[in-house]
Amino acid sequence: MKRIAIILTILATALGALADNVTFVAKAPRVVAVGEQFQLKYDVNVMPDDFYNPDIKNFDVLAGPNRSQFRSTTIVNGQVSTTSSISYTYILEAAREGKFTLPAAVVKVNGRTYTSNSIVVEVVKGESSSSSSRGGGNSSSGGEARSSSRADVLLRMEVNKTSLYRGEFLIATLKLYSRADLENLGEPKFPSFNGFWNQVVEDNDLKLNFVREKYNGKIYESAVIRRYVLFPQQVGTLTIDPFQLTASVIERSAPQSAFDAFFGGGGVRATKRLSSVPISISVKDLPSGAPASFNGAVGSFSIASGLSRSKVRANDAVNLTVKITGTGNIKLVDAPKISFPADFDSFDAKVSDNVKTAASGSVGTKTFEYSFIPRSKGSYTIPALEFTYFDIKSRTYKTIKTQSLPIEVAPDPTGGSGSGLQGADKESIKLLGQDIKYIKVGSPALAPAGNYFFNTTSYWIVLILVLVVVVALFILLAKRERESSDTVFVKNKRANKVAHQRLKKAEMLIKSGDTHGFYEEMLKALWGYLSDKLAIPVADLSKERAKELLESKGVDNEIISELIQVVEECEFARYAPGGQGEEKSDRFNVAIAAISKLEQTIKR
Amino acid sequence: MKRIYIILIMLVCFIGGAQAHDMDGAFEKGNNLYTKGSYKAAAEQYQKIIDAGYSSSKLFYNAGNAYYKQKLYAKAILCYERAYRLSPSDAAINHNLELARLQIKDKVEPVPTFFVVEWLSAIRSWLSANGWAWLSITSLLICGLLFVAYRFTGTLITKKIAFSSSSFFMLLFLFSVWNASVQTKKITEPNTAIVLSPVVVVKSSPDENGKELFIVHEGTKLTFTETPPVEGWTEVRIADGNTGWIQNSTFEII
Repeated sequence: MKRIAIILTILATALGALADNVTFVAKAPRVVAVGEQFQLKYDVNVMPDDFYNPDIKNFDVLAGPNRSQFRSTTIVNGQVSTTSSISYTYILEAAREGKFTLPAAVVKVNGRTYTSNSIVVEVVKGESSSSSSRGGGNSSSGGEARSSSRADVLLRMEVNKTSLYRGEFLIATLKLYSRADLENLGEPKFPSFNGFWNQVVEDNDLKLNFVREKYNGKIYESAVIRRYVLFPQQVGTLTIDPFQLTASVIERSAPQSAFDAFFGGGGVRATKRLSSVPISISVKDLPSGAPASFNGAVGSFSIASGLSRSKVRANDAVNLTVKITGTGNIKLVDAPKISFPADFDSFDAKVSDNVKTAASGSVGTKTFEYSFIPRSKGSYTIPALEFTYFDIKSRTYKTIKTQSLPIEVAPDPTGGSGSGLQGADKESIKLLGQDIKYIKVGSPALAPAGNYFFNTTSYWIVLILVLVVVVALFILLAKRERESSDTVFVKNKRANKVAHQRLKKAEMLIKSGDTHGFYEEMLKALWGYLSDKLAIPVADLSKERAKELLESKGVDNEIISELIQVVEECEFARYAPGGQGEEKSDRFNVAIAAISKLEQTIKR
Repeated sequence: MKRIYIILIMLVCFIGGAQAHDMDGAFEKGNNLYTKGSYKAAAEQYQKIIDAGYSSSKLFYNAGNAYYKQKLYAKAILCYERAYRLSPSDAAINHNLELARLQIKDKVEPVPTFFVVEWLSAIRSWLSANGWAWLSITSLLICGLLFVAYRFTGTLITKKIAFSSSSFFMLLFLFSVWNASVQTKKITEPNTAIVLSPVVVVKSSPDENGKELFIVHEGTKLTFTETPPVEGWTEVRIADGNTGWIQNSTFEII
């Protein structure tokens, strides 16, 4: 029981998977002429259980539905895949002019119902009564065919807008219209699109895919040759040059015979140089008042940024990726300027893009990769990036921003002075080889910070103290000197005075010739002085007595002997004949000196 | 009343002494940690003393060494500069400061100065502010004593010698006073700083939006200009003579 349930589940899943791949499409020409017969085809790729006929109105159903089946089996590398397709075909004829809808048909596949698309068919007035599908039929009259043959093949350049902003894009489509049998096409000369930046739309199928289209009230087979996305780069009126192509057409003429007609003959091959009509495009400049970060992007964009790493070491390279995604002139978007932190070394952005040009414009992503190297540790922020574009839909400038990105830079483990190559002279290399001197031990002699001595009160006190000491010393010494110098001077002066007084008479006689008188006076004065000094009468005075007394008074022996000697010399010279004047003055001076010295020694 | 004063003074002395003693202990501890190679812990010890408001050339020098060993060169330079100010003639401090300066990124070419100015500043750096202050006092004392000697000695030759050397010491006194005042001004009105933030953009005006003039990296020495600072910003000059505004949070005054 359980097993059956499992099998059923698997089966159901398989069927469901199968059912998911069902495609059911309706196909019919878009333009038909009144009275023209055409095919309406419903294709389904799986064998349907049931097909419900659509209710076709406004058209006459001539035949159908005719069911046809197609199956193909391919074996690729041993894998067998089978595709099958079932078509239900109607032959319809348009009865009236106008636009009509061919309704959707419904099929049932494995119990599910699928609905096809519905098709709008435009029915135009037929130009010829017996027009058949796809120009296969012969024209009724040769003249008419000939007259119309000039317009049978033509080139057209279609643009989706003729007035736009600079930087906005327009789509130009080169189309070939034909009502004749084209045999060959060649020598194309594509427009140069002066003033535009052009991108060819990459269509997958390069071959011409003809569809029916009404143009100038006629039904043509038209095919797109090429599509361009054009971005005007200049303001003003720009002209798109004509596109030229050489086409070989088989111009039909009225068949000369039934034989000709049967073999498809009767046609004349003609080679024509076709040219499209030049188109003027008026390009407006973008409105003023663009933000500073605008650099020409027009369209609709989004921006994202990211860092390769948000935690790095100094001197490591980091990538900042900025992606601009959107529609518009994305290929022309310049690298946004990023203001990296001042210390970072940054390099030019590496630009890559992945842009697809499709009929809806250029869509894709442009990637800017910025490399930079942080040089120092710290926390940095890569500022938010502003990107401004002109939004076509709202016709305004829009500014979008990225997030600002924080980046944490750790110190460089190699020491950080790796960049120290700059200006490393010989001396510094020599020094780098050394290490710092070792710490100092012992008492740190701590003092409060900001401590200083100069210009403080204590400084001035010490300074004044020094001055006081010096001045005091000066005063002290000066005083002492004055004192000592005073007594000596005064004593000297007085002693001299006494001596001079005593020897006054003798002094007067020095220059006279009276030698005897001079010495008499000298002796008289000396003895008188001594008797006065020693307080004994002259009569009691002898040299020995005087010497004794002087010694007892504590007078220097030298002075005593000097004095005695002078006395003796005077006594001797008194009776000696002659005698020089010089001798006299010498003795006089000695006597003066001796008395002076004595005066200083003996206090009165 | 008097007794209370005495007790109070003793108390203050005791507390001060105890704290200083404690700090000496921390210094010793820092030295031991440094010897063992735990530079970070040693730096913490030294920093504790510095933060407590003490200064000494040895302390700053050792702290600088501890930072240098941790490759925190900017802080090392800051400490060495402080040590240098306290004893400018110390060979070890000068050597280490020079080494630390080699480790930083900015190699600023100093503007050449007039040679006399250079000599004078070289001579000035022989002694610290206090050194010059004491030298001024000493030279004044010697000057005075020599003048006294000149005045009171007997012979002509000694008088001549005493007078000329007295004049010399007078000049030395004036020179020391000048140097002491210059050196002291560096302490009372410090006008140099070391950049501590890794990278700093120097602006042309004291606000964030000012034009970026140049960048300096950590460890670079800044000198304040005469321009008064504007809330949070200071105008500085670097050795090559360039000036600009810099945020106060990015540097520390020496």
